[in-house]
Amino acid sequence: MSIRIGNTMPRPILNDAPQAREHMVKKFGGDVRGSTVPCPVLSVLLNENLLTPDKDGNVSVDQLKSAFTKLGITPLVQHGLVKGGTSAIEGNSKSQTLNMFKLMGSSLDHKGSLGPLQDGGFNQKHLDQLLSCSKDGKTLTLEDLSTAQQMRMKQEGGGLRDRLIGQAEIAALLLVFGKPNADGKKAVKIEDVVSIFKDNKLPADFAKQDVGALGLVWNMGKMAFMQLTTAAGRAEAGLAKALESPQRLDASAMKGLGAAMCPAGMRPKGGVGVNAQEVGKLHLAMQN
Amino acid sequence: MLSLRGPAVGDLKDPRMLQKQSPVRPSLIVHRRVVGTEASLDLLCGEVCAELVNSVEGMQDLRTEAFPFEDGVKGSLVVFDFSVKHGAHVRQFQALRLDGPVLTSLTLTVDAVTLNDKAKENYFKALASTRAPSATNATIPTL
Repeated sequence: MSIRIGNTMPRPILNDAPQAREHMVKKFGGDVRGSTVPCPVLSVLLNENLLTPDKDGNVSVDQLKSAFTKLGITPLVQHGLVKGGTSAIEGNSKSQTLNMFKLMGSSLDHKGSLGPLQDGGFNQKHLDQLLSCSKDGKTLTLEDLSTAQQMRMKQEGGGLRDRLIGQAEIAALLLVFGKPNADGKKAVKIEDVVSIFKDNKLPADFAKQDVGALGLVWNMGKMAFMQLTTAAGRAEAGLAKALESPQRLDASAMKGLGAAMCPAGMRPKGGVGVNAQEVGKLHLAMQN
Repeated sequence: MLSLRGPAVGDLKDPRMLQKQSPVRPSLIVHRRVVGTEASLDLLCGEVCAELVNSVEGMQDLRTEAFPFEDGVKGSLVVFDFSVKHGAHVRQFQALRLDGPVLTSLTLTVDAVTLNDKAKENYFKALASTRAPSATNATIPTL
């Protein structure tokens, strides 16, 4: 048994060859490229028949938005995901389809992802490594996921862009599938993580929650701050300061970004067009 | 968490050298967090070392030593060098002290090339002046 205090890291697990995902291959009519979809959320949507690609792996943007709605992802975030996805994968943000086979190797396929679905299949060792980051052994909190990302960043030597894409993915994963754990912290249950990454199925008791841009940015900021305050984060920050090199986007910067995106126009007590009750509701996402 | 930087330093350490030389500006990051009372300072120090080994690419000469604070508290010091990149040889000291459930970490980053005994003594004196967080006259060390 290992004892871990605070947000220190468990021992990393080395890479292993991924296994083909037969259920995903079946979804694509036997096309082995079905096993290569690296995104856990898209894999779940495909496996749960919320996305029905054609024989070439294309899904329509309308169907994608509809599936995101069923997960609770709000229109603004949907818009950003679809525009970013079509731009990165199809080379045209106005494309009306998105090809699932092109996700792997696209500019969205980044270093330092959580790992179980990278390299063209399912990787049990990466899932084990991810689960080993759970402090309570039952759930993965934002802090646990932040530790997992740091380990993967070190293993794959990712840069700032990789880190930011990864943080956005993790924040979205937590907001879509997370629920308060015994300590009241929003967390994804271990069995749900296995269900999402290994079986590509929605958690058994999945209930849709509102996933807005503000909550997403706020959670990214919290994760950046958590990473900055580990021994490794301080080591990296100290080096960046000493060499006057660009420093990681930290909590203050993310908080500023969150304020800039404030749906109440940065009026905490309300004002013209918005009352205090509405502001409270709009800001609710930041508490999770 | 509090982050401080020393004054900017000149561009060149030695104007006679032709290869690239990157100036290293000293910095200090002070961080406090509640870690509970289950772990000893030695265990925490070991965890810090394990995390650094897993996370800092090309780390060299990692070592730990006892670090006495001015108020009598026994602390630990983790010392290592970053790999030499862009003409800079950077050394980092992470001094740790445990006061009840609160772990204080002082991360000092300096130029390993220009660090001499006198400068090191001054730095350590500043680090050692850190007080327990519960003290009514708690101060932040200055360089």
